[in-house]
Amino acid sequence: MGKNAISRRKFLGRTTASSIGLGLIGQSASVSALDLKSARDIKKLRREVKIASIDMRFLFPEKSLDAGIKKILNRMEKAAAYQPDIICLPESFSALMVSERRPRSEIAEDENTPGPVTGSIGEFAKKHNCYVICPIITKNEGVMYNSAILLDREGKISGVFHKTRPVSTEIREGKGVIPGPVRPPVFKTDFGKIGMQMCFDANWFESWAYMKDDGAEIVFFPSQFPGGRILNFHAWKNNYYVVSSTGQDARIIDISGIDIDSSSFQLGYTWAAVNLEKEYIPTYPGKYRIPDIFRKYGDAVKIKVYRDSGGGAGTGAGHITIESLDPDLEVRDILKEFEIPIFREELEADGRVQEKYRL
Amino acid sequence: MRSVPDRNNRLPREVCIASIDLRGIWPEETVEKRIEDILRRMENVYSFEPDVICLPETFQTSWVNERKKLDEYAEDEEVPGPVTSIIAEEAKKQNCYIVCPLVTKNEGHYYNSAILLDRKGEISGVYHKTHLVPSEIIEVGLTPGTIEPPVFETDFGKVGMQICYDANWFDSWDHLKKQGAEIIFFPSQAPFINVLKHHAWINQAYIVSSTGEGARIIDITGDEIAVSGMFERWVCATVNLEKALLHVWPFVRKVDDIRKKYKNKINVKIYHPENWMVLESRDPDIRVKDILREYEIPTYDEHISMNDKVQNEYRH
Repeated sequence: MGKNAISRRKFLGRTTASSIGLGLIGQSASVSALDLKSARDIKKLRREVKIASIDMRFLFPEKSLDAGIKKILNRMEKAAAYQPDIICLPESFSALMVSERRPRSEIAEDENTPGPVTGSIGEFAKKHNCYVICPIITKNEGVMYNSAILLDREGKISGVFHKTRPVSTEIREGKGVIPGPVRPPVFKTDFGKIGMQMCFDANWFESWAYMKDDGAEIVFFPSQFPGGRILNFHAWKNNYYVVSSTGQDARIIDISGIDIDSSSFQLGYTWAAVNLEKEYIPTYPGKYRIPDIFRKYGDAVKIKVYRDSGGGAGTGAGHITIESLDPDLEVRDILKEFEIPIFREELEADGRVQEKYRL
Repeated sequence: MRSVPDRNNRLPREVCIASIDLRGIWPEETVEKRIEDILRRMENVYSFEPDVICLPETFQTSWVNERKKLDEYAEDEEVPGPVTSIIAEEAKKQNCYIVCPLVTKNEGHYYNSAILLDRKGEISGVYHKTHLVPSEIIEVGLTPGTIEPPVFETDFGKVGMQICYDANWFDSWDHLKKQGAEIIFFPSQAPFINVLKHHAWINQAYIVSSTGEGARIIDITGDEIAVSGMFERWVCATVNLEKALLHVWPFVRKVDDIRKKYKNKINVKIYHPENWMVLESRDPDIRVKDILREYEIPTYDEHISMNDKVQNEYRH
């Protein structure tokens, strides 16, 4: 994340609405967004990201696209009160919530010029100064994709993900949507790098792994099916946050694979602040260094052990997460200081030793 | 512990599995005392007439204060050594298989192993821990096993093994799956609870852990079937190998017809969040694969493979 982005976010978190604020932010936020941003004067963590995610419960069926969009915007407005940095919407929400089915070719929107759905959602993104993951069927050079468009804080299209693994019935022998690349793009935002996977994609592992390799810190999962334990696995396996937005629920999953929060029957959206200044580390030598880290950094760090015992809340492997709660403290620096490796990097190193001695 | 049918009343592919938890008997002073305690704990499961019992990783030496040199406690892989012989005697008496983890030596190399003893108490296979912790290699002097570990045929099905640190990798588990392992035994020090649950559904195999903190039997879906605790430091349950994990859509449409025809001879369980369903035969004469063929339902892997092929065909 660039320094400008950090200072801008800190500014948004601390200042009150003023003409100075408007001038600094330029075109990116309306006065009402500033009013919202200044509602609480609480210092944010260095790399804290406020996430909201919407599920589709009770949003369908709607007769017209306009009515459907209005309904989801209404739910998004409620979630926006949390002042999220990013909101995730469900897969193909605009098509699937409308009872009157139209051919995909009619509803597909351009990937560069905002259409009816991306336009409306883009306006919302601008109004609330947040990113939105807007999943929609797109067309590009005569080809259709089941996509998720990333709208930035100004409501502009800043990236497009094409569903890697459409179901064969979506592909319809080439007459439907075309699968995206197995190595999907990751996108830079002002809070970190993000990736996306959609619905049926959950059943494969390689694209999830590529996104980790390419630096994704949060992977968004717009879907029709909820994913259940499969998503917990992907989060643990890759040690990034996973945020789902589905036909039946919306969840925010920690880098340890444990659920942070989820939507409910009563409330069709979820929210949580996640800290990207957080790493998953191995039990050894992690567990020996914990007292010294606390002695030196006290409340500036948060350490959690996914214990060996218990009814399934932990990995049972004794793995540990450590995060910095101090805006001036990078978690990687703490790990370097205490000679603690990152879990996945440690496994790679151990794998090399095993390979060397294997007959 | 739920009731377990005796051997004569089990379905053809029903396997009674027992597993022993090491917690509560460590640390201990001597190897002799440890073996005594393990044998005593094993006695708890004999009344269930298990087909197989799993013991914890290096149970004779893990958290035992008595220290011996590697060469003194490593046992031969073909001629049963002292510990293998003691456990083999139990296998023979109880007419069951036993997964007996201990350090073995073979052609000058030492391995963190799990020996499979058959119902006659004979060595029928040896697994070498694939992913050793580097300190086991460099400080202890062990050699890592192949990343293509063997699967073993038993009279109830194909089994594989993984040990402790192996839980953090996927290659060796995947190899076991490709070789058709239906049950994977997991002797370990750490319990790896959720990690094992993921390996279960990924490999669609039952996982049986026997660890320093807990013994578990995990369903092919990752659900916990049985877990030990402070009142019973062991588990025992029957699992049915005549069972398949399927993708729910669009095949769930056929479930009503299957239920109407087969009634209580089959079980279908839907896993809504994951979009899975599990089809199990409860009748000795009905095979799951025959029902799948009759209703043209692919297995989960076949469904994924078919979609993968179509995706690759149309991806630009």
